[in-house]
Amino acid sequence: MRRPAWLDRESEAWLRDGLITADQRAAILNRYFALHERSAAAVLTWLAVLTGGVGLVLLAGWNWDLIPPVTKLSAAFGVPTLAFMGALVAGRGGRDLWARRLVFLGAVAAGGIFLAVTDIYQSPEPGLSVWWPVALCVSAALVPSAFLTSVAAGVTIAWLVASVGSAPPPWMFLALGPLLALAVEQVPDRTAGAVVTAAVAVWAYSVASDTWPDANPVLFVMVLLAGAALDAWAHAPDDRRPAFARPIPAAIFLLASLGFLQMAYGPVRSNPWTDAVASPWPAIVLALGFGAVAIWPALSRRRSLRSAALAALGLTWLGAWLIDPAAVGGPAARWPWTIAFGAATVLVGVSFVRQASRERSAARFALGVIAVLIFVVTRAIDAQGALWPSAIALFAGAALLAWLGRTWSRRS
Amino acid sequence: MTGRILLAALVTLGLGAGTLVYEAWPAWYGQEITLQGLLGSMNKRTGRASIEFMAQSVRVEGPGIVPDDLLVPAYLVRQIDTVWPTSEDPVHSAALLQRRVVYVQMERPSEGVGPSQPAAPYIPVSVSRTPVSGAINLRGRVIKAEPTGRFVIALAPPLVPIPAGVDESAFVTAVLRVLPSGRHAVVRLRQ
Repeated sequence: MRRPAWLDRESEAWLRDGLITADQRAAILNRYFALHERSAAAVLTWLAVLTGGVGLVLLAGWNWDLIPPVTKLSAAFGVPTLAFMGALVAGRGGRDLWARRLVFLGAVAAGGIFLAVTDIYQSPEPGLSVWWPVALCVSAALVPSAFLTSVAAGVTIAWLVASVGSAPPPWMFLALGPLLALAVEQVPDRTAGAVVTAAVAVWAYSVASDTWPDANPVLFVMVLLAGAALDAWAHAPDDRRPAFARPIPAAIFLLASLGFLQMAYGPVRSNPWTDAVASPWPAIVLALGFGAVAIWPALSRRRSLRSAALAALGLTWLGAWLIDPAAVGGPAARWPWTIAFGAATVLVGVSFVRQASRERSAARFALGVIAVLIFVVTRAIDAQGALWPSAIALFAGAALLAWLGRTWSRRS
Repeated sequence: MTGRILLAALVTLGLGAGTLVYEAWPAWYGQEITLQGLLGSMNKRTGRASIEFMAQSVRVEGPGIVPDDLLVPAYLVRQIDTVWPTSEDPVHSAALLQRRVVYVQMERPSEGVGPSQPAAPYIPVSVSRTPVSGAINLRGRVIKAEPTGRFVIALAPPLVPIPAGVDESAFVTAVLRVLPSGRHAVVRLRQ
């Protein structure tokens, strides 16, 4: 676990006040990994490798169209081959850090192979680019580093976003997700974990949008369920928490989905769930899976009530949609669901503020404020120019924000 | 550590090599057919032009479809299985058809072809949701569908090398190689 900055300061004060000895202080501090102990030079070398890689891409792109295909393929295969060979030499010589850097360079440079092949054969297949994320994720799982895992997850997100709206859904993520989770498990890192957490939520959106491209509320219900599952994972006990699950990204996706779900009821949609481009059952099973992950801790140990409540709301919406599309998309259904999602947004905000008070976390307090602001802004927009409902939403928001400020100052 | 690095290298380079073979396979082993196409905007620097195949635009007939005045050229094809969704609303059916993968069965027209005449380009005769055994299938994704029953299918590739002496907006004959799975590649163009 990373050493918080306040522990350095406080332990120094404890030592000064005679509460602990110098040895005890050292023993306490050694239990945590200090951020400043990371060599700045190491970070700069990683950046140098990345910058050099981008430079190589630009050099190739400079006159790309005039380069003969054989030369393109030779360069595309040559750079990663050399990088991996260098990594092998470094690994044999016991220089692990250099081996990891060269594996990173090789895996990133391998993107050139897929780009060159796509360019030469003008592939119409949108799924082709999946093989680069696969190569990156496999490399990240085998020779993990925080930088490689972050880039692998980032490229995976780019692939997921690019495949939105093109059936079949990106089920390859069922293999990539565990590889990324394994990579973070081996080298825990907050940034890498955050990007992997984001990839899970984006995958949920992509699956829904590739299955039902014309039914927009379900896209955000899927993100809500994924966000609830990630929130439950992120707040699981230490021995059961996946290293990749980060609470702040999970909360961001929860809030974003709740915001869109309130707005989704502006244009009333009632497309039946059978209007699917791909078979709807895998996506439904995935939604149920996310719901189960979010609800199970609450059923078993009375934890993660926020995640369970949001998952229950999402699953209720999904169940109503499956039984009768008019129950969630017809004009009569508009206000009950809008009120339900609006109330959920406010309750999530309150929940974050309570958590912030318990844990003295400014980030969670900020999430609580953002939840309230999302509620206020979406209500004001959804009123579509009607002044008095907008005014009521703004009054409610002002009262909530005043309450939040008072709560925070009292607890601080 | 070295074992893991070696495995990562093998997987990465193996995926690259596999992708290369997969993409080149139709050009190596596909059955040769010809299609008529219209060259679009040219990029003289890159030596490539966009191409629109006549076979890309097809029309089906069926219940719920509103026939138009047939001013937009499209091949009238039969449906092997239910390609056009059976929704009561043709606008909704057209929306559902968007982005779906379909297979177009191609045949060479019999009239006008003799021993001394060049082979006429293939034309679409039917569409299906899966490849039809024994037929020449072109795999493509629907990029535009209209309530009139006409839809446009994206075929490979979006850009082709410009043949010598050909101007923009010229009709060309494209030689394609097609696999039984419907995957295909343009191997050359001729006027």
